[in-house]
Amino acid sequence: MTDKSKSKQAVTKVDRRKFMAGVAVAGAAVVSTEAKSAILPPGAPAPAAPSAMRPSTVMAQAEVATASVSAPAYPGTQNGKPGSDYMVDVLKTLDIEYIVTNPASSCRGIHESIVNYGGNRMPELLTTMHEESGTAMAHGYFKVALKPMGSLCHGTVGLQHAAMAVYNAWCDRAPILMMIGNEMDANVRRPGVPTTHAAQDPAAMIRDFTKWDDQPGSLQHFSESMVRAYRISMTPPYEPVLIVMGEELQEGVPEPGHFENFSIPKVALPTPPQGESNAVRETAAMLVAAENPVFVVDRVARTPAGLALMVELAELLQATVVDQGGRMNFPNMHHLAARGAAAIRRADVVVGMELTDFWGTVNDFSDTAHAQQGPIVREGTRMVSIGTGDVYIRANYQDFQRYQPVDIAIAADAEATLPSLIEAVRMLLDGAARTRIDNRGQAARDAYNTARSRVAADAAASAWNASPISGARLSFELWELIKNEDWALVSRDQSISNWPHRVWTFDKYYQWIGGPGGAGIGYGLPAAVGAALAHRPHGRLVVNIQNDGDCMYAPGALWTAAHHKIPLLNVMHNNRAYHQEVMHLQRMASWRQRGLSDGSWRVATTIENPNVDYAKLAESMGVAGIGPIENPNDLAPALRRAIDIVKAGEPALVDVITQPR
Amino acid sequence: MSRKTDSVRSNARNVDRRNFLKGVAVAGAAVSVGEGASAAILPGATQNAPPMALRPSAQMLAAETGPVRDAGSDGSPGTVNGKPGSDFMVDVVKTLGVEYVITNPASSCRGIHESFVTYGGNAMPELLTATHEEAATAMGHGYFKVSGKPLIALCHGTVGLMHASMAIYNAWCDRVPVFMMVGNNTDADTRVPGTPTLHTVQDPAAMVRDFTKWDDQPGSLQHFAESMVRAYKIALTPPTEPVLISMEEHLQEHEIHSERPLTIPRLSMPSFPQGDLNAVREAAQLLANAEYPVIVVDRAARTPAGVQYMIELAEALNAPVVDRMGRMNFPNTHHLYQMGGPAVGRADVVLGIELMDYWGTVNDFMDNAEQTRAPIVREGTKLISLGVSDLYIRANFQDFQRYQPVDIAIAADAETTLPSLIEAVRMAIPQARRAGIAQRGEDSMRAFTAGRERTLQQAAANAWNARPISSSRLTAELWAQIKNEDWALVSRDQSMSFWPHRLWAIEQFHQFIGGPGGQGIGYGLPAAVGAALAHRAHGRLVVNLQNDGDFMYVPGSLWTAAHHSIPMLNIIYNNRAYHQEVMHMQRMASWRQRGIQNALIGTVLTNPNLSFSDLARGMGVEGIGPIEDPNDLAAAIRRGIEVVKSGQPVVIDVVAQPR
Amino acid sequence: MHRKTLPGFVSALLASLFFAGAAQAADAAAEDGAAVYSRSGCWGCHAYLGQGGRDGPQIAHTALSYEAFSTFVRNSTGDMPPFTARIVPDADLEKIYAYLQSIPEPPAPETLPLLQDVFSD
Repeated sequence: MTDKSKSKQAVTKVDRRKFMAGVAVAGAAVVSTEAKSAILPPGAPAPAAPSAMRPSTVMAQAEVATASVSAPAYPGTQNGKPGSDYMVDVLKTLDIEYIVTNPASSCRGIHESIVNYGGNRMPELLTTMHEESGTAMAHGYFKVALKPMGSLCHGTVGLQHAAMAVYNAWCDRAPILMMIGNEMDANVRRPGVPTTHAAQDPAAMIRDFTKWDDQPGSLQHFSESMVRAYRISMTPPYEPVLIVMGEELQEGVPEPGHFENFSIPKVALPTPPQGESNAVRETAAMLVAAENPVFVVDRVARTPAGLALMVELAELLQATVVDQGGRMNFPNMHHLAARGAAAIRRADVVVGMELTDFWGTVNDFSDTAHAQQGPIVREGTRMVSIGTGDVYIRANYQDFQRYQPVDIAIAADAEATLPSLIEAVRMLLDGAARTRIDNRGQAARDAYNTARSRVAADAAASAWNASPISGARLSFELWELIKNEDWALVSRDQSISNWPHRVWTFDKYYQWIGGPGGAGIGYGLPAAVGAALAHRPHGRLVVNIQNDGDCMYAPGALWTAAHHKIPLLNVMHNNRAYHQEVMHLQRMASWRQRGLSDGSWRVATTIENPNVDYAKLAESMGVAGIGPIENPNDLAPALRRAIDIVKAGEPALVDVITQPR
Repeated sequence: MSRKTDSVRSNARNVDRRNFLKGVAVAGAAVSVGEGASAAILPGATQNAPPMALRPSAQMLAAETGPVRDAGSDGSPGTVNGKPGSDFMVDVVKTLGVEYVITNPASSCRGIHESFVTYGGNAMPELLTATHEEAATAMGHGYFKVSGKPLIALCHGTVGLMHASMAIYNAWCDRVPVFMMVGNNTDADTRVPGTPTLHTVQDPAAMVRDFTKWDDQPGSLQHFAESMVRAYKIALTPPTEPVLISMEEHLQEHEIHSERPLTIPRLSMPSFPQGDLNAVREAAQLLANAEYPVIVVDRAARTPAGVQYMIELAEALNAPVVDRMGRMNFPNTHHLYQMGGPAVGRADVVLGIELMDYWGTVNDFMDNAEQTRAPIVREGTKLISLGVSDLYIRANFQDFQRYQPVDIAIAADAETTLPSLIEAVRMAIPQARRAGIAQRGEDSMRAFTAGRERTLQQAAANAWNARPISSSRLTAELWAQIKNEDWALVSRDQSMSFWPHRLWAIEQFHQFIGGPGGQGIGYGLPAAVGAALAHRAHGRLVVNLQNDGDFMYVPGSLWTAAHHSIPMLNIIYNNRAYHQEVMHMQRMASWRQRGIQNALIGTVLTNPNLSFSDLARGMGVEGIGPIEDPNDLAAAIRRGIEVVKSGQPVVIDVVAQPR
Repeated sequence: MHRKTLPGFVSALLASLFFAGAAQAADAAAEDGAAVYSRSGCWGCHAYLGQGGRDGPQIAHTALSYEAFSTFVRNSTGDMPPFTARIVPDADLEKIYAYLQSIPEPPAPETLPLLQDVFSD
């Protein structure tokens, strides 16, 4: 996002000043102090010695390249440590590996400090081609690295670009440190474009889906607010935060006198809220007494520990776990793992943990002309909710979903609550309960084995040899090549009918990261790149099953992967349509009894005529492109070739022409 | 923007319970019959009201779209009985004469989408596909500036509108009426849980309200009809600005229920505000009696007539016209045309017409460490402003720029005011000044002729034979091949150091459309596609000088051009960087005396280089290049023009100097 | 918007489903049926070979009789929208049915090496 120089290009000062005539190209010029006139703002920096006061808590200082600033020999230069260097000092205390940016004039001060003063390490700058992609990269990165990345954007237009990606992260409880430039003071900001790109309150437009924001008035204020923002975003519910950096703060050189007490507070993350003990005990009693207790989980595992705790709890009760897949909550090949709602229908106790949508979990809603709906749980089924949804909510955007009454509502972080719930359950288990639980476990094992033995037959029946290629075939071919690797999937799989979840064995936390949260399209590719970046130091083979329409939102994310050498296997699920919308259009036409057989279903729903050649697109951005693959028998060699490239440390893309789902 | 069905919900089908279709329900998705809904029926819900057969009185276009089908008469219980609400919405849109609706398809708009393509016959309006809502909105932006008519950008209510937001800000700053329509469903009882609920909001317009002129979320179809017509009227009354209408899904999808006949109000455009006559006469006096009056224009011409008025006014005074290029305001071949220069500094009277930034016009502000600033006008220079900025302004976003006191401020639409100003100037010129004014004209003519000579010398001196290719060489090569065509430029040229404005004869209103307004990047390519769409009907040869970094924001716009056969010549000015930012980094590092060796981190687009010709091919568009040798330009351009004349877009990748 | 009561014939349908027999259709109808299947949009949820997927069940070789199949297609009030005779005439629906029954049987899983060792761990 750039600020083009103002178009009054010819109104330059060069003629008038009669110096440097002829060297002022495109408005870039240096200036001598003779240009200083009486209208300089009061307190404009007098030549002063550079501030030698370093913040007391900068532990990363040793890493920083020399901060020495030359003596004021030249009149057009600044003397002393600019404000954005202090900002970098603050960032270095926060253990931020990367800041992703599309460069912007309102961030030029800190951009320069990161690459020069900060040595472009901790944090390192990454280049994105769209602020939406930058923000989605940070989203994907967090879910693997479990620490936030900065997304540095131009204050107005850049933040507008990023808005939807911020909403996705908000819905997905992913912390992103949004950092934007702005200049409030009309007296010091450049007129024209930089003023068009300024706002009183830039955060206003995304405040409905940001946990906290501030526009600090001083560097000390920045220091405190940046640390506070980090802390707020990293306290469950994790959410995006935003800090506005005044350009004057970044670019100005503070007078040393102001900075004798400059300090950077320690982060000191609070402990996440744990469920109230009585409510937890009541829940445990309900679970132990139940015939068919069922856990429904969406984002219960914030960390790998959450996954282990869920297994422990489920096994203790031999209770079915329905994983809604917001995170890697439960091993999909565990005999207690259930997909779908049959378990919920049988349940007499449903414990929903960190659910986006409890109502939709226990109710049926048909997308019919008449909005049919009704509970799917049996009458008398008891319900318990555990999660941070009750702790933090905002109005306007309806991500809080429909209101669902429950019997016990525990406002707490689920992962933090699991140990005490496990303990409470264990204490209540008596002999009778254990027998009941063992029987339940055996039944679950039998049912699981039956279901599992059907998968191969289902896959074979699912257009195994068809062209376009079926989701089942694609998933099996991929699995064959990755199952002996340290792999991770960084995309959702619902667009290929969840075949990877039916076939692959997901048992490590990092092998699955859920989806966009807000279901906003344009997330897939950049989030995969961000996730792959976080996997890179572990040397994992990262797989992104990439929908075509999503890819076309911001394909430049591929260049970012190439530029920063982020190994990533992109497999296109190329059904040549916004297929969800094809179905919506058919549904509308059917309700209205208007045929679409004249091809009107294609209007504004398909991505064909011309077909997009994703391999060519990848090649154009310096990414190895393979395909289009239309014959399923060509899949294995194509994937093998691509995996070789990925193992060599580069991204690759295989364009696979697929069935609709 | 898609609404994916929630993965759990789709599994939440009671296949077992119903015991039918057992064994055929793969992946948990199954059909269900009405039985499942028994317990939750609303009171009165089964009451079978007759469908409303009343037709809106103003439906002059109904005949085109076929009869209303009496759906449901064959007894299928899952169908909609009668005309769905979105058919009526299409009737409303048809009365507004909107040619195109650009959309990235979205579930919250599925009702009206279906009505456009079936009931509406996909004509007037026709649906076009965008790969990003930002692109759809920017297409509407570019299209308006050529056609003078708005088109509709149809977006998903939350995530789609978020995507579109920056493009709306651009249109807002550029005074362009983009007509935004979004889908939404505020009733929790009827909306699908999961994703569709994530995509709904009480007040979708809130996030763009600071840069939208008007919005509404109608509660009924009658309300919709009135608000659509009102929105159109508001959008197209200067200052022309974006508007937004939120369409409730239930209004779109359900059959029409209305106590009274639905009507579509007539569109009655207001006459535009004209400058107060006394103020106009006073301004005329100042101008007529000035030694050196200067006119500065930014968006003075809203229509071709505006250009003619500007010529008349300038010639009446022989006053230089300094063009700030928000639109095609004045022919650059006219001897009074100036792209800048010292004129404002010499003026004793400055008339600023529809300026975005009056302060920046009469003040100097240097981007140096000291922020040197000073007025560039002489002391005592009289300043006059004429424009709609005083009529309409919003807080928060600072597009209103810095406050500039003036001597006469005329709050009015400039183009509407110009005839009376011209008349007043003619009457105000004293006999004694006529010779002086004539002399000014002769001086201007001489200076202009000398300036042209200098320009040609500079063009040749501007790295004529260099690789990467220079902006002046590229401009000259292009001109040689388009000058005898009916051509139009649909991009700015500042990244090419304004060479097209210096070398080409830009004389007609449609030949230049200004820039993004809000300077938000990601505008260039889609706005050019929208402008080319509007030019297509006239068979013009459309040239888009396309910056590389901007292109990469929404490259999918190229596919839209191919899909809809929109002919346009895209010349990628590929300097392999966000070059403005390279300069910013150099400036920072120089102020701080830290060397510029790191200035390329995060600012360049190399390693790997982008191949825009391959990228074009990837989207089904012919790609030519990369062209690195200036001697290869002519042949590449010739081939490109052939493709464009065959009715298709083309991309020529030109590896270029920084500016 | 008003809710419909469950039509009586649906209960009859529910009963009939268990006894559905596959009607044998002529080859020509099946061939034509592929085109009608495509034109009528069935593939949107049920995929190109009727194999089904996340958004619709498998319908290739449906166990439903034509009568049951037709009754459901015409009268669905659930996730599948109804396709009435107005948009898919009876003749077309018959062809679609014939096509679905004519789709080649899937390969036996045992014959596919990829499917052999999937769960052998």
